[in-house]
Amino acid sequence: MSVEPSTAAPFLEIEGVTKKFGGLTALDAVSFGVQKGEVTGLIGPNGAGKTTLFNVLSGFVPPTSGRVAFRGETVTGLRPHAIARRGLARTFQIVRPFPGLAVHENLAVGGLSNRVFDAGRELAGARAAAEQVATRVGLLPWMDRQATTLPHGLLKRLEIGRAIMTQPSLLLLDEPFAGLGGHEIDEVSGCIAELAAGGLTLIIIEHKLRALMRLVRRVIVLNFGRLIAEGSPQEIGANTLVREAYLGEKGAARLA
Amino acid sequence: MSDLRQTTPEARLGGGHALRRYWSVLLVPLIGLIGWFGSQPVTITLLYGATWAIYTVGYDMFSGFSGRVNLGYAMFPATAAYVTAVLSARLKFSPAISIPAGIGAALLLAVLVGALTLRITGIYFALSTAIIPLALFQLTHVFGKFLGGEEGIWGVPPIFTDPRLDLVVILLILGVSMCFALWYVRSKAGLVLRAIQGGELTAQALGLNTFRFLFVSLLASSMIGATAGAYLAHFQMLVAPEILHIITTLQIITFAQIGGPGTIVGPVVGSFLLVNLNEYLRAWTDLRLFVYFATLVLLLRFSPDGVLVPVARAIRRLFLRPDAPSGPGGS
Amino acid sequence: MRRQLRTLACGGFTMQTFLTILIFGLATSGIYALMAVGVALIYGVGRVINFAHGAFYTLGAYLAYFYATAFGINWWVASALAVLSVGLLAAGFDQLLIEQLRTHEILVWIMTFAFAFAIRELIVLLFGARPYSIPAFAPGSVSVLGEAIAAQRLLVVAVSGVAIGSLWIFLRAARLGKALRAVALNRTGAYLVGIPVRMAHATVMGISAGLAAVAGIIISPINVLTPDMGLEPLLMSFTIVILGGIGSLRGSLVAALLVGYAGALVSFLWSPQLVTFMALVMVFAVLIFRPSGLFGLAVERA
Repeated sequence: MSVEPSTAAPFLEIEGVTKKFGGLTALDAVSFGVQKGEVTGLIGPNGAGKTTLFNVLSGFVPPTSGRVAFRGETVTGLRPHAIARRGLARTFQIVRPFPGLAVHENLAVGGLSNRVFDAGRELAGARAAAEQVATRVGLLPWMDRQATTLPHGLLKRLEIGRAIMTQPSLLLLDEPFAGLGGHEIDEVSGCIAELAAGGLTLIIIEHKLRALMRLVRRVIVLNFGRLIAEGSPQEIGANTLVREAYLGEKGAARLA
Repeated sequence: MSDLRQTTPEARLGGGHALRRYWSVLLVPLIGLIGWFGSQPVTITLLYGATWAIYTVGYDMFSGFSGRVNLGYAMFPATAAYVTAVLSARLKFSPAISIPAGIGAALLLAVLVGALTLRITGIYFALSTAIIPLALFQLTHVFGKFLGGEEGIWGVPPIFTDPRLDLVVILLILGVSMCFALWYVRSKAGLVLRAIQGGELTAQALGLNTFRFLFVSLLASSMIGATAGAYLAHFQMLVAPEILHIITTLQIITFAQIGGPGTIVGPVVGSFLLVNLNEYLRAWTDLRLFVYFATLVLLLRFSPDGVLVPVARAIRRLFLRPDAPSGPGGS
Repeated sequence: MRRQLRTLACGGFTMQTFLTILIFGLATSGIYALMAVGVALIYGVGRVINFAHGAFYTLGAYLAYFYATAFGINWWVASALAVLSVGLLAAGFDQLLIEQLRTHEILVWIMTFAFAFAIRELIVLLFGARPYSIPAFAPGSVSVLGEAIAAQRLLVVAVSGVAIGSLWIFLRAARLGKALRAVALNRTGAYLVGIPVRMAHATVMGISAGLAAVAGIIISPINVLTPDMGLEPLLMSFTIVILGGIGSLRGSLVAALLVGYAGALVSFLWSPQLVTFMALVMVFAVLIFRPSGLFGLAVERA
């Protein structure tokens, strides 16, 4: 099944984004668009620039050149919190729970506004919202636990739950299945599928390709900072360039 | 910056009873009674204990919660003290004008410092804040004629003649500061500060303008110390450059640490304890300071969580329901 | 000051002025380098910001004086003994008081500061607060290019040069030296390959304190011995480490030269008092605009 180019303006537009760190080119003129409601996979070998791209999109790293537009607005160079406020949220590859805070506090932080002083109602509201989100991602039984005491699988869900608390319209998931076993992958996968079904636009970085391909309609492949392929999961699976990127020329040749 | 603070049940969301939250403020009138009916040396010791306690509360409400160590905290009480001293002793303004002016000056300094240093993280923040009082110290010597240089400024007019009344004022400041700090750290801002300590970038990824929260907290923190600093200048009737030495801030941090960082009441108790220890040791004349610092060394080595937190934990375990959470781990 | 500037500008830059500044700057840089390198090493290998470094400097000088006068031994022997004593004390301090707190940065800072003051008070107890004047190891002056330069200052340059050179070779070539560098680069990796990390911490503290003691001893005839003599070198060494970049020894050395000469110039052209202020302004500017310093690793900005 091939993907028809849409005539609607892309929800997220990435134009010629390049990022150089000194002599190293982490991203090389990457360009693509994402439609509202799409679930896109972002794959590539280690060091291909996937997380760097997320860092650029979420405002943590300014691109050396290029432009990012979200919902028609140019967001390149905005600070991370400003981009998050506009509805573009992300999770981190290595889980970063707030130590010293309980699970419900971790979640509540995501639901707070930038007003410093408030009448106390905001905390109560955040707590209620946190309970709802905890139910959605299956963390309700652990609400009062110190976040750092949770096992890895639950922490991954906390990452997602926290991001959802910001009520995003586009969510960047960085390796949501990393370090998870079969059963746990299914659980998180189900959670992600529900989010997608609810209309949330998603871009997912993953190495666990089988689990990823079940969730996404479209896959983008990066290698050495460059976009080398784009298409449906089947097309990508058959693409020789992609095979070479992962397995090297000789490896891919052996497979063919 | 490592997370020293442990989440005591008090610090959790959804605060609980007002009494449970603010019980520690009751210590203030208690101290007031001791100071009022005690002998003058006692009153004065408590006065200094209370002043350091205010500094420590101001320090702890920012650094104890956000994890950003403000190594230059002394600059706030010092600025307020110098400004009020210059205005009242040299320019003959009334303290009713000079004290607020001092506090205002400290607030301006906090705005400047916050704008410049809050975007840097980790030890660089600590080091850059540490430098400012050192630079101010140099300025007091460079502008020696106006700022008194080595000797400081003398002849600052006192407010009262009876030190017990000064104690009442200082205790009032302490009480109000504690109430504010206790409210603040359990409010939304406090939660954000604790999140910042846990991971500032993560907090930003969740849409929080961490700079704004840190900035406002720093201003509040500065005003608390500034108020006490300004008043102390009038009580002592002088202000000396020693206050700008890094020792002052390190002492504040020590009091906070020994008491129990991130709890507000811990630092208050820590301050009173250590100031009293210092006074008690006065009898030992020569050995005094050595014993004082040696005691600090031993306390830090053998009770790194401070004195208060383990004691509080033990009390809770003894007096509350056996299945009550005994500390940071929860159930 | 205008007069001096005009003299400089009009080529009335006499040989004496030039030599004075050259040697002065070199000697100052040497002392600062000895201190700064120690601070940098202790942070790099042990991850400790050592506020007690000034105390080691002071203690070295006092102990050398004590050994020489109490036991009537020769200055050089007394100095060597003093350096050894300070080194051992520092290593002990590290293992007994710091090791258990190493994960809590703030506690370590307070501990080093409390220890520094305990040492200071001990010195006051044993020697009193009055200044002591030490006779020069190398008395008199030496004729360099026709000008008289205090021999002691030349000795400072020589000793600091030799000490730092030895340290450099030690870190590059000796097994223990390389082990120290390994711990600084990657502590976990060092554990995994079997490097005794605890011993590395103690060693680096001992060596750094020893260098500070050397600095205190060789400069003591030029200044006087007071219990607080270590405060200014402490401040300057921190300035230099920040300027050079935390984590770079080469940076510390370059910065030591820069600060040493800048200080010598400021001292000569304006007044010695402004040197500290100059250093503070420099450091603050570095921290705000380029926290990584000259050679340090890049720093994350919030």
